Amino acid sequence: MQVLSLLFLVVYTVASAIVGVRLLLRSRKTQGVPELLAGLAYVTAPATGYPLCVTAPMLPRLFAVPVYMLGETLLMFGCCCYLVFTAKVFRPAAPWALRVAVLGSAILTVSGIQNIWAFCSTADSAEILARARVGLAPIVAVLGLYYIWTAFEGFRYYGMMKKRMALGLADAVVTNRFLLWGFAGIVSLAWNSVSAVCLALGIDLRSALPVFTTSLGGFANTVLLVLIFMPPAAYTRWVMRSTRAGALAPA
Amino acid sequence: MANSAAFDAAHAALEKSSGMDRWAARGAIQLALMDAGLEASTVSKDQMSVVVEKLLPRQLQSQKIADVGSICAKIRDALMLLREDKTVETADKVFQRMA
Repeated sequence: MQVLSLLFLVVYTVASAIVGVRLLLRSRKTQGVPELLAGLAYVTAPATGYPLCVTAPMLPRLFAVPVYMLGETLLMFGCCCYLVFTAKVFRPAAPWALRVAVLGSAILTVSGIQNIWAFCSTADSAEILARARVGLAPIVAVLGLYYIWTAFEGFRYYGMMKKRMALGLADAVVTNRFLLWGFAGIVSLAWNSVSAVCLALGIDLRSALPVFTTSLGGFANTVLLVLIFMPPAAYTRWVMRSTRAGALAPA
Repeated sequence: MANSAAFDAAHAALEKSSGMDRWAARGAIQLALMDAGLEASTVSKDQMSVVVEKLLPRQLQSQKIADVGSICAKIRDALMLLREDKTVETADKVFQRMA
């Protein structure tokens, strides 16, 4: 299970890094804030922050502390970028959405600091776990709500885009991206729920089961990331073909 | 939440040309927008023109409004005169650019 977790983690890390860097390069060209936010989110959270947090406890204490501090900081920063991305992209005209994103980011920041303190204050893993639970619970709660929000917005927008397609106002491939985005929210919610259960049962989130679930979820998200941000030509053709077939089908 | 300039222009033109009261006119356009998968806060001039051409007539007919064709023509004229200075960046535009 550990080998598989590592494999999934590596695949997710590499895919997130590629997607994140591509988005950052695109944001330089388009000057688009959403691309910048999504790019930063992928580069800092799944591509660097999470792997650093998972590997830090395996390192000698001298390196473990700075690596964990860096990992946790990047991870929380990336999660904050995700929140602001969702607010700005899906609710551009709603001030409440940005307020929710800022509130979530504040909770993540405070909880991240708590986690860093828990890791730095002792080398005893049982003690770290006990202290980290205070910070991890709000993180898992905020991320759970965020993933529900992501899935909701993805599926809501997919429904709207399907109606627009019928009027010739939307493209089939872009419409499909919203469906995949919704599924990405569901997948992330699933692994986050496992983390929540582990936390409630007092299981270390850096132990085998939660790391495997997160890595598996990460692998599933990799597939979705590729289909959303770097869709192979064959997939794009398939989406367009199935849309045309649907449009031609008798009512 | 503020409505887009296209929504406000279509709303004003419908209210003026149909004799509908403010809320009835607003409701008719909002229902047509819902059928199109669009939102009042972000709908653009081009999108609104399509809605007025393809969905609003049915909406007005269901409310027993007379001379639907000429009303919709007046709304389209109002939309043609509209200058959209600032359009909100919508999720579909973002997702189109990101891949």
